[in-house]
Amino acid sequence: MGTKQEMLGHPFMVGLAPEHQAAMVECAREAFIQKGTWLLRNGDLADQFFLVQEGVLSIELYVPNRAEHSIQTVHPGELLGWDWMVPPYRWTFDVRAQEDCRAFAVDARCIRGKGQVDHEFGYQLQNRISQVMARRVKALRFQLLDVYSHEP
Amino acid sequence: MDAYLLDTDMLAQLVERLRLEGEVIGPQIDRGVIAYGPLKSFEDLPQGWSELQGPGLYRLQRTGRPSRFAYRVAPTSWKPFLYPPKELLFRARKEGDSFTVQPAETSLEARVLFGLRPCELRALRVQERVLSKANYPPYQQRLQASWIVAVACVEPGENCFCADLDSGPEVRDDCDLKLVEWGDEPRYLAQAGSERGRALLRGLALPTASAEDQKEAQAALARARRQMGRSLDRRQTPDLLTRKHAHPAFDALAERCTACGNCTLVCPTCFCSNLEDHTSLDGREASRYRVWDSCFTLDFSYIHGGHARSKPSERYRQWMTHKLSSWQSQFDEAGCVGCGRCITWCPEGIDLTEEFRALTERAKESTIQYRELT
Repeated sequence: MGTKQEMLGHPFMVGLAPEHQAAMVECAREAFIQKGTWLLRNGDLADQFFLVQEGVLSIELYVPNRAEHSIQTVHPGELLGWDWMVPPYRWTFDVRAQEDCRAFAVDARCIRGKGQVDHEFGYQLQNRISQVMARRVKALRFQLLDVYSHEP
Repeated sequence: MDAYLLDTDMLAQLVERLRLEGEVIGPQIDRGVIAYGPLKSFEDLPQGWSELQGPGLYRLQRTGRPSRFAYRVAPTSWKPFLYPPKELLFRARKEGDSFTVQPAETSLEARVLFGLRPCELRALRVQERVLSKANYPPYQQRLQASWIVAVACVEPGENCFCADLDSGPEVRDDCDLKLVEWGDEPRYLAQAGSERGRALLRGLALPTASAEDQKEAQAALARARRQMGRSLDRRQTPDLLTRKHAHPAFDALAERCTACGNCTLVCPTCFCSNLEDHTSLDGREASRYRVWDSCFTLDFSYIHGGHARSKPSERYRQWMTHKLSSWQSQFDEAGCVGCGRCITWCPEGIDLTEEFRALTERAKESTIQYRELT
C-alpha cells in the first residue's frame, strides 16, 4: 500500500512513458482522507490533484436553500481535480469524501514545472486531463436536461 | 489631557450641568432591568444595583456598594435613540394628476446620552460609519445634536468580551466626556474628549485628579481586562466563517436556534431595515416608513422564486458570518463589539463565542493525512 509501484497501476498512469511515470511519482504522496472531510473548496488554490485508489468522493456545489448539491461522484481509478492546470488555478467546486478514501496526491506546482520543461510530458498530461474534462462536460449536459424538472 | 476627580456630589453636579445641554438619557431600573431612558434626576441612576448575565440569563442583583455603574449593559442598546425602530421617511399626496412628496423632518432635540459603555460607544461609531456610507443623514444629524458621555467598565460580566474586539473596557472611541468609576466608596475620574466637553468640565471648578488617582483608575481597568467572562480569537475570523458554511456545528445549532430574532434586536450594530408603504383608504395619501428588520425572519431573504435561507441555522450562520467576517471586508472593521447581549437575550442561551470556538477547533483538526511513497 502506498508504493510507487502501486501508483503505476492507476489507470491514469497506464500507457505513460516510463520517464513520465517517474515524473508523476516524484511529485506524489499518498493521502488518507477521512469520511466527511471537505477535500477541495470552491475558490481555494488548486495546488494538487488526486488519483483515487479507494473510496468515493462527491463533487458538490453549495446552492442556497438546498445546501450542498452533489453534482457528480468520483470513484477509484479516476482522477480528481483539473483546475490546477488552468489559470487562475482555483477550485470551481467543493469536494467531500463520502467514505474513508485513499488517493495519490500529486503536487500541481511540481507537475506544471516538469510539463514546462518537457513539452511531451506536458502534452500527455493535457491530453489525459482533457479526457477528464470532456467526461465532466458530457455528464453536465445530461444533467442539464432535467435540472429544472419538478421533484417527484 | 486634563483629568478631574469627582465624588458623588460632584457627579450629581455634572449631571445637573449636562441637563442644561438637553434631555439626559441614562441608565435606570425599569421593569426589572437596567434600561436607558430619560433621567428625571441624578437619583434615578441604578445606585447599588448590578445584574447577573449569562447565556439566556439576566437578573438584577444588589451589590451592597453605592456604585452607580456596576452593571454591564442594558438589554436594549442606545440604538433606538439614534436609529429608531420605526421612522417616517416621507409622505406623498395626490394632487390632481400629479403628486407632491414631503420628506420627513428629523426631530433634532438636543440630548445627552449619559453612560454609554465603551462597547456601546464603539457600536455607535460603527453604525455611524455604516449609515453614512449608506447615505442615511438622520443618524448623523441626531448624533450631532447629542452629547455623548461614556463610562468605562471596571466590572465586566460573564458574557463580556470587548477586550478581544479592542472596544473596551476603557473608552476607546470619540465622545464628549469619559468617566471611570472605581472603588467601594466610588470615585470618578472625568476627562474630556471634545472641545465642548473640555469647556464644560472647566466650568465646573472640579479638583484635578492626581497622578496617583489616575494610576488607580488605570489599574482597575487593567484588572477588568483580565476579567472578561468570554473570549473570541479574532485572528481566526477573516476567512474562517466563509469557509465553514457546511460545518456540523451549524447542524447542532439548527436544533437550538428558534429564529426569534432577539439577537438582532439587542445587537447594537445590527442596522437592517425594511421599507413599508402605507396608503390611505381614499388613495390620496401615502407614507413610507423605515422599520427595523431582522435577518432571522424567513422573508428577509426572499428573492423571487424562494427564500435564500429557509433554515434557522442558515440564518444564524448568515448573521454570525456578517458580524465576524464579511463586515470586516465590507466596512474594514468588526461588526461585533463584544457586548454579549446576543448571548444574554437568546432564549436558548446560544453563545456566539462558543459557536465560533466550535468552528475554529474543528478547523484545526486535519482529517487528511499524507505519507511519502515507498
